[in-house]
Amino acid sequence: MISFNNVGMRYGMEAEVLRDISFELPQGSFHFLTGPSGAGKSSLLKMLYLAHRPSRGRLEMFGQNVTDLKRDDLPRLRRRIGVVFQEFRLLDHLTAVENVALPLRIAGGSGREIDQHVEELLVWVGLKDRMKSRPPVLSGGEKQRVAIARAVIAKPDLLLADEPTGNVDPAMSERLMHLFVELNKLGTTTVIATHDMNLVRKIGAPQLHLRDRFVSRLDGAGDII
Amino acid sequence: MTSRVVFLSDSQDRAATSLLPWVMAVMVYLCALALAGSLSLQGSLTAWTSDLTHRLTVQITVADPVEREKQTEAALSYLASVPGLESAERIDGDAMKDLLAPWLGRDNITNDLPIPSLIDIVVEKNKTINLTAVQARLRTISPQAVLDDHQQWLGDLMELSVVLQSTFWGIVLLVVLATICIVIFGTKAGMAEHRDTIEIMHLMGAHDTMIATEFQRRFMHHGFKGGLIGVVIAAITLFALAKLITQIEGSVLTTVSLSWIKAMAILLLPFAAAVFSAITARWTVMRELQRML
Repeated sequence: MISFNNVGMRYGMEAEVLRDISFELPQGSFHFLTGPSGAGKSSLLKMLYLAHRPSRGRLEMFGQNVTDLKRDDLPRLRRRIGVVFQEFRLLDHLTAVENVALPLRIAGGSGREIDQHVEELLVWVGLKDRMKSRPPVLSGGEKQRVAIARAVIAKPDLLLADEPTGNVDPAMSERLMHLFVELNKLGTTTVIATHDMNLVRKIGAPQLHLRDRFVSRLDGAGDII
Repeated sequence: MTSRVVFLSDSQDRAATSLLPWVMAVMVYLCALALAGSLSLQGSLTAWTSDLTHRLTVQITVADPVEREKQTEAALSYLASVPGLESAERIDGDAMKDLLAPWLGRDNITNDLPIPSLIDIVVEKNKTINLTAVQARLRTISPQAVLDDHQQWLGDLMELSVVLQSTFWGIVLLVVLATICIVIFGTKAGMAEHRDTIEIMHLMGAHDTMIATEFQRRFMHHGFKGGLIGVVIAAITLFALAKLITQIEGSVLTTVSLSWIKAMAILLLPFAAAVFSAITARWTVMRELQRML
């Protein structure tokens, strides 16, 4: 489903932040993306959510070579990807419901059905009383849950999350991870960037471990595969 | 097919484009005045030329009033026999005083003032007169008789009118170009203000057209609002000018007027401003988005 083949990435004319990255993510797989700060996790995620193209190498997603994909073809692929950004990136002037409904509306949906669907999901993530609230009045944990709901509402083929449980209490963290696992069981390929090794051990999924701009694959116990 | 998604923040939009409707108002105001000037001049010129093309004036400038009277009567009886003339009438004393009053003042026109005789001739429509022959015959009646077909005056007037009209249209063109530049700058400022939102929308799969449509709608609103303000102020200005012009007695300016149809064209300016703004904003957004991934 996703294939990196000797991919390198740089910003402008700077030195490469990722070098010779090669790995494959089969459809329906679940991976953690781990590594120390500055190792390139965010850059790797940027390529995965199509915010940045590789500087070299070949990146294939959903059977298409992203490296030389036309700009007009990107929206179609992006609609198959759900992203939870580390800094949430919610639209401050929209309510929680409106933020979560955005991916469905962008995809052309409309009407009461969307609202109902969105409200159900917000209830599930514990934001029943905050549906009409706007992000500036939400706590960090609440914003994070809105961001997660927005990422999963359209049942994406690929779910990417950058530290998705960093701002919530352990109980909610477990609940959200359960949501990711359930989505994964329904066929969504999932990549979660995290520093929380307890979480990694608990779920026991394999890791893509970034270090010194290179990637290696580790199993759930942290051993190189 | 994409449905409309409202995703731009009004408060951010205000920060970037709050002055835009006012700038648009100034532009539409200038445009309306220039357009009104050009259109009214065009109408007036048509009226002047159609009025004067079929008219001739004979001027008899003899100082001796008795001799002048004799020559004028002889000229009138000759003109009555010329085929193709609808009428040849002497301009009487009161009418002459009316003509001279704006220049000399009514009280200064006394009976002993040597005023030449004027004969106003109306040529039949679609008839041609041999002006050289008429002039020659009039000279035998009165050696100082002058036949004026107004061509010199009309020529100068036409020349002035063409220059004025070109200037007005030049102003309209410059205003349109300046408006386009203002909308481009405004759109870029708006995009910079909403940059993060645009990026998020892109990452969620929004097409450029969806983003451009939202900007286009906003700038169309700004353009219409500014256009409406500008055209209302222009209408007040034009109304005041028209009032002033009608107060200038005996001036050629009194024939300067704007027909209702032409006035309606000016009233359409807010719609034109809206359409211009929308098209320019859309073009700018689409062009700018091409630079993003």
